[in-house]
Amino acid sequence: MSGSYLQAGHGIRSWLLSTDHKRVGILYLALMSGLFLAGAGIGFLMRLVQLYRFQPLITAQTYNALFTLHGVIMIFLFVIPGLPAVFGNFLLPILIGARDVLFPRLNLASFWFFAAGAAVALASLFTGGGPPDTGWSFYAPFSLRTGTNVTLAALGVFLLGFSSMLTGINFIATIHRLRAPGMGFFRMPLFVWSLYATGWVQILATPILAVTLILVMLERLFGVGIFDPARGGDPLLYQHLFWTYSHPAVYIMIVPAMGAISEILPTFAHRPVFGYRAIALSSLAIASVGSLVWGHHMFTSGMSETGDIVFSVLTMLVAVPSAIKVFNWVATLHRGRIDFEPPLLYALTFVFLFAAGGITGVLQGALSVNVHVHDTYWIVGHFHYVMFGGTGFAFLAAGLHWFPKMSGRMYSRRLAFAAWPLLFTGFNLLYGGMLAAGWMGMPRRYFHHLPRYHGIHVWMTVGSWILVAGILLYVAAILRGLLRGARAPANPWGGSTLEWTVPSPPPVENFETVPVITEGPYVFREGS
Amino acid sequence: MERWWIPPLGTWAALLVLTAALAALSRLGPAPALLGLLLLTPTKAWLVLRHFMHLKGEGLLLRVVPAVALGTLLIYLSLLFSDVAFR
Amino acid sequence: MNTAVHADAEGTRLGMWLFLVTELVLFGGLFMAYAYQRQLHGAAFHVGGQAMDARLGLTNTAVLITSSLTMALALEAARHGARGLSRAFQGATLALGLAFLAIKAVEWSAKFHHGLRPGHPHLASLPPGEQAFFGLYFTLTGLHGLHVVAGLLVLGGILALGKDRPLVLECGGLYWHLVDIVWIFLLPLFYLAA
Repeated sequence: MSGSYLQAGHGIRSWLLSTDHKRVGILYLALMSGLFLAGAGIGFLMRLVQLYRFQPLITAQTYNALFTLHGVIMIFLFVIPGLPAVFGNFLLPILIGARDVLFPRLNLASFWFFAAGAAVALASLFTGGGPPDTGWSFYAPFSLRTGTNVTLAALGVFLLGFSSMLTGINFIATIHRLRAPGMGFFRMPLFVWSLYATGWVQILATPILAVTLILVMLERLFGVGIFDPARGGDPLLYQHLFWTYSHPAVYIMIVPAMGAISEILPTFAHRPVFGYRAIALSSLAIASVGSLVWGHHMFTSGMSETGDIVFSVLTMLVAVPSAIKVFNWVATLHRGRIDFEPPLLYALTFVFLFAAGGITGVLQGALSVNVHVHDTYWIVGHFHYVMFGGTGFAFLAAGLHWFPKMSGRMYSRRLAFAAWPLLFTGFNLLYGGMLAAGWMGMPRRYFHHLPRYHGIHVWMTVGSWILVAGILLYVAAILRGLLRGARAPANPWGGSTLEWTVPSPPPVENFETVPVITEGPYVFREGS
Repeated sequence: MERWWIPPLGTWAALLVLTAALAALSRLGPAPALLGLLLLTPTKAWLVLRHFMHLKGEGLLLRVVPAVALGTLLIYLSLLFSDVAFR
Repeated sequence: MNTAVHADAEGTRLGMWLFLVTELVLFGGLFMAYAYQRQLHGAAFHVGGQAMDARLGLTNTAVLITSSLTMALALEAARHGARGLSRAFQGATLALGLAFLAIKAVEWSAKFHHGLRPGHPHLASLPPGEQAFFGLYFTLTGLHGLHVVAGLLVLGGILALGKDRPLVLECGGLYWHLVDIVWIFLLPLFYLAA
């Protein structure tokens, strides 16, 4: 038996140039954790300056740069790549009984495209005309005319898109070609199903973003008339193309999160997941229908009424496969033998917050409501319920669930439990407050607010402090585990999928002999 | 001896003939030109995909992959036109 | 080092096709932009098309289709063990690709000469629909030209480094044929638009 993947080589080169899918996953995790904390710090600052006392700290222009930066970091550098790049890389080959992804060198290249994209995006802050102030959506024609460094930021996001596409290609090809003998598609763990669906969205939607950003760059550099009405272009065309990618991107963000939850719940209920096929196929359904709803970002833009109606109906349809998942998760717990461990607590929080985010989404998908809440804090609140309450909490849950496997140690159970009430309370104060403020009419992205909104801004800002404290406590739980955690056994939770059959941390080649699969992924034995 | 150069030459000749037909149609006015655009162009692309890119002899999966891409693009286009055709 | 995984021929082909999907969708986004603008400015696109040189477009079509033929023949020759012949066909493909770019350069410089380039006051004085037409023309043919350059670099690298195994040639060829397909669509959208 060879040693664990952590002992396979020492020194920085053995990490930065490793084609081992597990090490590539850890590289992403390290880089993304830093970026996430930076993004959270910016969010904290944005909330802080809404208190009158702290407002003089920054200017309105800085505020524009901050919300742009917060969005670009969190969306393009954390939530979109998050679960596939970290947990997908680490676990996908192991979950299907393979020794690596199909194209290991391409996988390493994806990481370096990501790192380069992050570096270029961050370099845009300090060069040229200063940090972009357009918001993360780079809406034309403002993004074409602002003197800030939009061109470089767009190039950075373009590189990130490349990384995302290559990962998608690699995962789809790996799932088709490297499943262990006997593992048919309907014997794959649900996280693998979700990565498969996500991979397709990554390759079918990301190129549209790539070409949109190319067009923005061409228009800024050479004055090609595509989006700017003064040059024969059309800003609505920009919105169409941008959201043709950026709405499916929301499903690139949430579908792998749903996959991770579908692994955690049966593991801690010690019961086969309820409705395996329904959950598996609903991933594909969400990915495909979810790719066709982009127009709901444009209901107030002057789009045709026919378009409004078509996109509104399609938007509501996405709720069906999403609800199928939620009901099946809840039914999985029924009559389970439940171990109430931190990963389960965080996974259940995901289900609750995602449901809240989903329901507010259906609400604003209705045309009449949308007109009123468009571009208000309501949208920001909804988005954070889905993306942070959803994907973010799934990331936290997956982090706890697979931390023993990845590091070979146990995290601090006490601190992980202690972080939860802070995270949950802070989250709902902050983002629940946003829903309320938006409903009352507070527009998003405003540096100043009317006095009638000040009470709720104080409420949200206090919530952000509690939330940040929770995040720090969670990080402490992980760091304490890394430094002083007990050695993790191969299967600390009694899980049934393949990653729990190999040692913690896994050996370099994952499996001594490639397993032969004779049954579905969630068969729990007595005593396990 | 197997004459392996014959099938590619046939595809090539068909593509040239279709191109000539497309050019001729486009001279007849807007309606025939549009017909050529919508019928002959996809036929040419299909010939390249089927013969030069060997989709003819590939398994189901490799034939499904480009079909998914083209189907997706068609759906994208029709959704785009749910707006722009009804302004 | 992890030596356990080697992509088999079928897996390599799958990976290549998935990559081609991203290329198809990339150009698909531009075709969406074209369709959108043409729907809004149909008459102006007709006028814009009159400035196009259909003979150059048709010549380039013949050149590119023929280069696809030589590429397909290069692969067939390699599969049948005629390596020398295969390399000759690869060389012909490269030559035809370069000829395509040369004709393209002539065409673009004529447009530049007539003030039909982005940023030129003459183009800016035209109606919005015609500006959109030429904006799309330069974007689409320019991006396509970049793909031709990339294809030439890949095929030239394969030839120069002697890496012309059939599987490698097949993947390079798939890319080259895809570039051909994109051009097949560009021809009627721009050159025959009048």
